[in-house]
Amino acid sequence: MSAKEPIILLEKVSKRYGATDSSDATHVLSDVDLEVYEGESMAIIGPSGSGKSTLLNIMGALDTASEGSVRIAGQYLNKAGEIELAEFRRRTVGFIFQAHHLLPQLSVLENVLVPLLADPKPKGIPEAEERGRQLLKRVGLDHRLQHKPGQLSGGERQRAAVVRALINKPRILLADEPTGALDRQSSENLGQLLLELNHEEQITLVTVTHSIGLARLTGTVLELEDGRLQTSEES
Amino acid sequence: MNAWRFLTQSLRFYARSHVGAFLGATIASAILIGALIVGDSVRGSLLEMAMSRLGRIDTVITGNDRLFRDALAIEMKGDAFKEVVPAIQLPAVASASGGLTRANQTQIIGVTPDFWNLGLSPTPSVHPAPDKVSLSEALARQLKVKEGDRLIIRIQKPSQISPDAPLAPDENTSIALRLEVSHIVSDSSMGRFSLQASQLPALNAFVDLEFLQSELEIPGKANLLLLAPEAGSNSLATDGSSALTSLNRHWTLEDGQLSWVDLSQNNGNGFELRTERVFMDDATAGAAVGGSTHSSALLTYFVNAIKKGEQLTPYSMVTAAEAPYVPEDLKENEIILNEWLAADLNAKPGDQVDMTYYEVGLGRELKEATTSFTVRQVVPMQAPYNDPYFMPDFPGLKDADNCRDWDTGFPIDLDLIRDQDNEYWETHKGTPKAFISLKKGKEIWQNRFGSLTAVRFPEVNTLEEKTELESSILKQLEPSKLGIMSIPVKSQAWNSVVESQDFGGLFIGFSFFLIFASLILMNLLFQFVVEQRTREAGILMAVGMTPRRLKQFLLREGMLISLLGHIGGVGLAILYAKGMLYGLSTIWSDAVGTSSLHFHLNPPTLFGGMIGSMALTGMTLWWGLRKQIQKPAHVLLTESQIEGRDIETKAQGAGKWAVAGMACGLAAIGIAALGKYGDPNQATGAFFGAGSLLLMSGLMLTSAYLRKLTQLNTTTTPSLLHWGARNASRRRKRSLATISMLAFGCFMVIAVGANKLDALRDAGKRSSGTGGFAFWGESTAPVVKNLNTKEGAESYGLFRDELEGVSILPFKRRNGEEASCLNLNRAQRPRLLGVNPDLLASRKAFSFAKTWKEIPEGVSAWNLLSEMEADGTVPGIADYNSIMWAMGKSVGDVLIFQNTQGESFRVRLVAGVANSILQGNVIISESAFLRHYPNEPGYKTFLLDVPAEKKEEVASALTRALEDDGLTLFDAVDRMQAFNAVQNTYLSTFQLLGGLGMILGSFGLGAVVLRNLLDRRTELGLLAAVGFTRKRIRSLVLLEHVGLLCCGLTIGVISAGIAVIPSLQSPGINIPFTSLGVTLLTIFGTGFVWTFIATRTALKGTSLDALRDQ
Repeated sequence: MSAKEPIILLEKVSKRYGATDSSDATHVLSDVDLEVYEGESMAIIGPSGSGKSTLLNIMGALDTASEGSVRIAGQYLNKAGEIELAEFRRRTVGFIFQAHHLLPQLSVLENVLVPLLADPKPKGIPEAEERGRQLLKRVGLDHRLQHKPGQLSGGERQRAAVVRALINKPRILLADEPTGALDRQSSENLGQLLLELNHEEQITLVTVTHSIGLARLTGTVLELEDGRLQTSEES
Repeated sequence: MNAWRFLTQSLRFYARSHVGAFLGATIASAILIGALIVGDSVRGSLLEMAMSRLGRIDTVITGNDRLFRDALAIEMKGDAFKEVVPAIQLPAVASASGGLTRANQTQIIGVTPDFWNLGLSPTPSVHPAPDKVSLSEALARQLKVKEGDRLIIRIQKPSQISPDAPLAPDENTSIALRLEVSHIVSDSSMGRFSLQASQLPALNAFVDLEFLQSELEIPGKANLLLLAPEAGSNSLATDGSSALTSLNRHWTLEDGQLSWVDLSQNNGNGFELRTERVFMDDATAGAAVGGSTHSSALLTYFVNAIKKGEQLTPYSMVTAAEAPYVPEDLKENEIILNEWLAADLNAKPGDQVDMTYYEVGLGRELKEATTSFTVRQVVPMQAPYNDPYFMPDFPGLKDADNCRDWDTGFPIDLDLIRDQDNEYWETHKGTPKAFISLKKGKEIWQNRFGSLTAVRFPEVNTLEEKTELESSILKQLEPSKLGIMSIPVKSQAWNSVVESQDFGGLFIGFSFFLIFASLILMNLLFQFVVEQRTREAGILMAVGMTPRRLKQFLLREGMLISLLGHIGGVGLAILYAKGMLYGLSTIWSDAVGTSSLHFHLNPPTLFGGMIGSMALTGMTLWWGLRKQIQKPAHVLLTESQIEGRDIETKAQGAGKWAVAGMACGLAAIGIAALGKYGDPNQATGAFFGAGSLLLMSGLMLTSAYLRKLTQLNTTTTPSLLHWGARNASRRRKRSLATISMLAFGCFMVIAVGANKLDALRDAGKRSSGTGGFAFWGESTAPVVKNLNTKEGAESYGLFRDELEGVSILPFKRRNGEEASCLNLNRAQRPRLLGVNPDLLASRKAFSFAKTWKEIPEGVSAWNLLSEMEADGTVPGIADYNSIMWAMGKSVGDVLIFQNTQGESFRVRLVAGVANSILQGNVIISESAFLRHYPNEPGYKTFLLDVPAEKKEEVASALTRALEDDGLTLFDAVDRMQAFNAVQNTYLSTFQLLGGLGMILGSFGLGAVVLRNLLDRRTELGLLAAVGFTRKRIRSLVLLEHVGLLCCGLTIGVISAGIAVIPSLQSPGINIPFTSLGVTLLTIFGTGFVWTFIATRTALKGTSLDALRDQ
């Protein structure tokens, strides 16, 4: 472990649906403690319904913890308001989902640039466009810039989604089953790409996956079961 | 990549999905902007009419019943206005083709050739030669005459003395002019000339001024001066004051009907100022008396008899005077006799004599009264007493050589006139036989026409002194005090148009449902597209977009669709406006009374309408987006992948909604009971309230039922019907919105449509809008005799048996503008009627919609007319609709009128008559009327009670007898029908446009069906997979959605049924069951058709495909 401050620090994080005192309350996460350091790559595995995606959503400020402390890149998300959270998502993290979620009305390059729209006063648009082109070239989509998502293969769509997650130079890349909807070859390629980016750009990578292959590529694998972190291993 | 690019790309990609929202915006904007264009067009048309009826005329000086010198026009020219044109305008009766065609409301207008230059397009060539007449297009049309045809125009010769005044002659003063039509004058050439703001074209007959003056024997006189700025000048309309200043400058005593008598002609001293009107009104008398410190006022009166014991001298002039004509200390009970009378009565100082004379009552009513005097002295038959000039110029006496030639206007017992009386007249004419004090004279003879007959100035003997005196009098005698008014007609015309009925607002109201349905449709369809894009919302939020910014993006996209819709909407708005104008000029012309409405496009209104409509659509979209995107990004991203994940499952509170619904239902029953058994005046409001509550109750219970279905867990196999209902509950808000729109629309269409009025219902009842009267009559010339008496009827050649059982209720009339729904302009000077309130109160005629004060039980609101306020405010009553809509006032408000003394007086509207034939008029008591318009002669408006079986016979006899007076009788039911037609036409328009809105709403139902089915494609695929036939799936879907349609219509119909109960029982209301039935069936039919089409469209292709996709 590094002596530096962790970029992701979760302490006693719980997530519950339903009222605290209700017998119907569903506990998705219970007392999760987690530290992730800058540049680290980590995979969280576990059976369906174990709370993996919820944990990732909490780290990415897409969801909030019911209890516990969440500090990401020095920012306590529990105390942040809606606008601060949106800005956090815009600047600090990049998200990759199981489905590519590309907007069908936009070209590949435009989809990659969508996060710029999230900023009411975007700066450096030409630079971002250039970065988008570079990244698309990096993932092998430089010949697909003007294509619509409907004209791409599944792997190409997901690669475009990865570039979209990287466009704002995030410090953390959060991937929720990024290879879940891909064939084996595409899955392997995407896994390699994520790890390369992790190394090249020094982006912290946290991925939730069922894929043992992908998990093995990461530095750390954590297992979540019934909302609790069971074991951890260094790969 | 920027926001604009994102917007345009999204718009292009979802273009097909946005078609519905685009159409909704197009229709909403078209209707809204179209309605405003209708408003502009009506106003523009009214302005055109106003301009064509006035031409370049800015101000008019009218003498009312006075005549002034036409030379004033030349003298005033160039003062305040470049052009001043004299004219005579009089009411007339025109007939042609041997009386087969008639126009009783004709205006004969004597004009000079200059008059035609006042038109918007000067056409002096249409000026008629003497013996010829130029007609307005409307009059030519009514008389069915063309150039070269002949016609007869009958007019009353203007008299300076009111026919109601004491000693006014009884002779018929009408003359008939036989004229050849020389030109038919177009509207733009002053053919429409009128001082009344109305969209109805005037029935004008133009003749040469000099010719008319000659025929009327009033050479050099006029009663109108038309003042206009220089042609081509763009000066603003004036307030009329500059015209009055100019008139004051050139005004002479002759223009005030005053003249000098040189008393030296009869060995007297000084001059006497007298008036052609016999009695000097207070303003003139005040100015004359104040003209010199040595004036002496006189009041000479015709008395019926002077008696001493059994000795009687009939019919004598008696003068009430001041010193030097009577001793300064002459007491009020003292009388001075001349030698002749003293001898005739054998009277001497100290004797008592009784004087009998007529007191002036209302109208021509004369009541005989007697006053006793003590003889103070007997004066010789020499100056100053032997002076025939003491007698004013009584028209029926002044030229009579013999007592038997007298035309006094009231019955004279010629048997009483002896030879010596005749000899006295022949020798001394009207020389008074006795003198009393002026104070006493005024006390017993002063009447509404005046309190003096002359003012003498014994110490004014030279012409210079007379000129100085005249100047002094004129300084105090302003024309306005004699009722000579300066009317700023152009500015009034402008006001009457600006304040006219706002057809823009009216049509927005009529089109409310159409606009509402379009907006709902637009919103609904836009929401569908937004819902389709849940995943997009999720990803945008995941990359850091705030929900607020996301909504802004969606709103901008919606506004862009709206803007495109508006661009299309403008074209459609023009078509809509033209369609509505065509309707108003043809099938709905009853509402506007004219076919002269032209299309006017006003760019500021167009842009204003677009901005307003854009704002409206913006607000609608914002309102719709308010509840969108409330879930976190990860939820939106998950829901987008699972069908049915976003349906409403948390539908708690069924019990609460059921309780609230039942409470509303119970409240509805309670309020309906209050309406039935409580205050009848509150019944309409109570039942409408009960209906509205029932509507709310129905919707709440439906909501409760749908909530209950959402939570229902059954273990039995559901029936198709039950399954359909369960499906409707899946999207409860969507279903409820559909039901609410249909129910609310249905309620309004029925509730409003049920208020159509029927004049025939209970028309014979006193409480109805006809007041139980058979006819409403209007005459051109005043009817001065009482037609209810044998003598009065006979004076018009009517036999009493012809009028057996007939009772005529006369009204005095001061002409003004029609203040009813038949006049699109806002009446600036409403027509005023004067009536004896007791005659209406005793008949319990008409019903009152509202009174200013509480009326004690058993007292008629008509009695309020007799309760003059302390500050002189006159109580007035008018039709409630006229007060509200035509005058823009409320009961209790005050109207300002100007009387013939040039003074303003207030009329407070103390009560409003419920929808009646009195529309268009303000009614005050006859006594108040005469106080302000003492010279307004006779009666010109009538309500007639006629036995039903004699209606035709009486109408025929009366119109024949009063043909020359231009009497027109309107069947009271027909008149009521004409007024009702306005409201009924508006209601029809509302029903039509409301129905269209409902049809559009039912199209919305189709959209909901389509959307619901697209949401459930895999579910339907599953049904197919488990063996449902396509037909059975279609039945399930139809059952579910037709259920919504039926539910909405049923709630609406039942609630509206309760709301219109008072209308069902009300007199004069005619519920249009057929048209309402057709409207409802059409709504149901179109709703069903849209549902069917949507179902077929959605189920096209194999549902199994959807399942496989999943």
